[in-house]
Amino acid sequence: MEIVKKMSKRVMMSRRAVTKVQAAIIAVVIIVAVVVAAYVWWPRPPPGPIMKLLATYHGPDPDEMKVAEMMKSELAKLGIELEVRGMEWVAQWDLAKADPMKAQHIFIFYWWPTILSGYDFLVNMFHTEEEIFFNLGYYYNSEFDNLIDEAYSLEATDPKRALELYREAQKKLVEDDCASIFLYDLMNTHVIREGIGGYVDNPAYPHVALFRDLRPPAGETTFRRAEYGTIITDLDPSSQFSNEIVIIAGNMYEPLTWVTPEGKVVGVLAESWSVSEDGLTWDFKLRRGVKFHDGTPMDSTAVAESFERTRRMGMGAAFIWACVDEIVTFEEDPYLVQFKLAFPAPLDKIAAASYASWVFSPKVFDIGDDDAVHEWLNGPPPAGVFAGDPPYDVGTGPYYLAEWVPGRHVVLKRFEGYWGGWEGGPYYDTIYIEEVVEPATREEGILGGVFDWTYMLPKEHLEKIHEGPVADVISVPSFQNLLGLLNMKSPPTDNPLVRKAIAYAIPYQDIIDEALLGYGMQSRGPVPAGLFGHIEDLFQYTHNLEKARELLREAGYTPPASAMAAAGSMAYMELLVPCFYAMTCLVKREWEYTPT
Amino acid sequence: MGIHTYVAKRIALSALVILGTITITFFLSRMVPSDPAALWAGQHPTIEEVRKARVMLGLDQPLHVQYFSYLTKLMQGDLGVSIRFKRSILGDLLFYLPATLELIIAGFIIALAIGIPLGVISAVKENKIIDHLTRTVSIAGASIPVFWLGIVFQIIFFGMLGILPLTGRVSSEILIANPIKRITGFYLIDSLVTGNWAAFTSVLVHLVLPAITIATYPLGLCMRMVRASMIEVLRENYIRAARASGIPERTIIFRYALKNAIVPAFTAIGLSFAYSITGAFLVEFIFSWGGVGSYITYAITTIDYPVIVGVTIFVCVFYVAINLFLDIFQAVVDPRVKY
Repeated sequence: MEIVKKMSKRVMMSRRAVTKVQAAIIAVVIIVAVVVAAYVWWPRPPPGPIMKLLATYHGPDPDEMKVAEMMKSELAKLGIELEVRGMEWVAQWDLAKADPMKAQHIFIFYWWPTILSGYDFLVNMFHTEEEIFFNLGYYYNSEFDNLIDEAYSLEATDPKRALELYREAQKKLVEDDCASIFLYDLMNTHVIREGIGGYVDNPAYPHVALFRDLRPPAGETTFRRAEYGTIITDLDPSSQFSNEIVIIAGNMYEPLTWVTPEGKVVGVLAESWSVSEDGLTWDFKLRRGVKFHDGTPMDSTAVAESFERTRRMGMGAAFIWACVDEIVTFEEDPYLVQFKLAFPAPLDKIAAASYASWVFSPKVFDIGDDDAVHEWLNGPPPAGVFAGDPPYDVGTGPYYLAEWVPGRHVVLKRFEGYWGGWEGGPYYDTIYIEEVVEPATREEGILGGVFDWTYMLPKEHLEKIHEGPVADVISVPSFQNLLGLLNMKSPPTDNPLVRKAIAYAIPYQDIIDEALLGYGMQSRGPVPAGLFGHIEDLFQYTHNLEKARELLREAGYTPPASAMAAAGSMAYMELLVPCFYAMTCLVKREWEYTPT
Repeated sequence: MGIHTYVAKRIALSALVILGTITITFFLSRMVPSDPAALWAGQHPTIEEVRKARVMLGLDQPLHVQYFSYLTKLMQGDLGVSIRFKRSILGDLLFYLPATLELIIAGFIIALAIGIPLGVISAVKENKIIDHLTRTVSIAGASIPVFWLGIVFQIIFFGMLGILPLTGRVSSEILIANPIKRITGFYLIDSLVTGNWAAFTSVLVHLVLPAITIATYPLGLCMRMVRASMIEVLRENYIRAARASGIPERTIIFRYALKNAIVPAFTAIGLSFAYSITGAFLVEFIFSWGGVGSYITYAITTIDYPVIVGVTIFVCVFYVAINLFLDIFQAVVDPRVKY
């Protein structure tokens, strides 16, 4: 028995040994087979991206981030690897200004006009610059420069011809040179409590509420506006160049003219005006019986001295007066002021600019020199913010500044002596503006009824707020547009074919639907609709990947024939997509990739 | 080494820390890729405006010259001028500081008033249900982010219950109809001194949510510190001796044990007070408080570097000063401290 046991044990052992060896051999064979099969069948990874580009955008803006990401994924389908970099504005700007050859290829940013003409967009972003400033795509075309300069000088005297010249200039810019991607014209959205009437958003002055237009519900006297942060930085009407206009400036100060929401120039402190035939001499007849908040009557001396100070200080938007050579007043007629220009320019529109166009009381010059006045107007804390009693401004507007705690709140009060009078009505007596940084808090506040007006809430919530019983959401077109300036100097975007291919690759409508949730429309050229210089039938790029591929091939590149093939070549999806791609290739037994 | 040498040594060390902070923040702020001159000139400035601003701000000078002129000015108490507001930073800080101090002091009083008793109870009832409960509360307090808690408080107490105000230090009605005369900048004190009762109540009500929000971290910390050192002290022989001699438990806990236990806890609690000035920034942000937090938030987002450096130096001095005070305080009060 024992022998049998021993024998069987030995047999079993040998059997086991055999199976182990067999298993090892089988395993090796399988591995070799797999490796061979993989070697035979596995497609070599397709070559890398056909070009690498860099796009920069204003990092803190969630809309711009979405736009950049969508551009990235769409360009990937063409085999273009787009690096998107969200930056602080100043850093983004510095990178662009330093050296065009090392700078970004696509500069994504918003523009809105200071002077209410298409020229503002064309000259700032596309006019040849010796030192780079806002021409951040480094566009240079002397023909284009001459066209827009001539058009601007003709705007007042021969608008028809001016528009023709703008059309020609923009055809060069958009259709021939494709200097930029024109993404969308933004719609502004505001949330206003139900029951308040009279609010009009003027695209020329985005987010500006003229409080005298508002009609309070019965029994209410205070209008409470929630702002998105510390945005009043300077209350000097000569130098302010930030968001002061948005909140209060237009209520405290008034310009000579104003542009209506329909785009018409109307007189405010000017009653009428005329221009000489050569466009070089402008006569403005001033409104009579206007008083500043300090009681001084408004006349031609006040107007001239205001603009002279703004020009002298040369801060903020003082450049709008660059065309003015001399401001003349007449002793015999204190309500006539004459501007002599160095070159023809549409002065009626310039006088309606959102900045540097304010008229203020000459009494401020009693305080001291320009710097002393500046300091007084910005009343430095801790000396009780301002010395003495309000008003703390020197304008003619319907409301005066009664209190300002920087970073906290502003209080405006009704100016009883306003030239427009306070008949009709009802009007608000007091305007309270609170700075509320956190969007969730602003939303809570408007829904809870402690604010009457706010904006910059998460777009996803707007519909729900609008449907609710508390507040209405108003959305209106603005003169603000988003552009992606294309680098004209650095390869590969120095090639117009490449620029056009990029312009055709942008999913314009998807961007508006997904990033903006519909609050915008695709731009037609650099000048937003409604502004002088906008061309209704200007050439517009559409989302057309086939066309983009064609242009790239023409430029000597070999874009992948399909999105799937392109995905395989993109470095950032190195692992996942090639596997998926290889599997589909195995299944379909065909190369989708066009060999070079 | 006597106490005088100790104090002198501590002060010298603190000065060194402050100088280090000034140097690091100054050079860091200059390394950030941005152009303060362009900021100074405004949103759409011309090249000439930027050039003018650069000379005016002294940015055309070499870096070491800028550094030493900054130090010299700092010695004279001049923190420079804000690029955005174009006003003296020291003046602005003094203007905004009372709001922040009012908030953190209120928060700290809440933290101490709740934290110390809870810590004591927790230590006495060690490992009982109440101990577990308070420990959970303290961990939650120390770890819940204030910006989240603040918004949740707003949703509950303003949005749903409607019993507490949403933002600000005082209601807009009071501000317009019954404004508080600024004397110290502390609204509670100012409204009390001027007998403005309506304003006083409004200020008090407005203080509740932000103060509780800011109190959560020091509260949790205070509770745990007091608990830990109380447990240690309660195990000492002299406590056992006191118990044996029949002294009432209340007297033992509060007279004999807490007095000894509170001193070590004091350092950590004191530092959490110093630390809460930075925590206050987030809370101010949510409640639109309008204190130093709002000031620095705006400065950071707009790269207003003189303000960033100025506030950093200020916070550093605040922290170091409290640290110094605590060290000296402890050396004087507690004979066990060796120096």
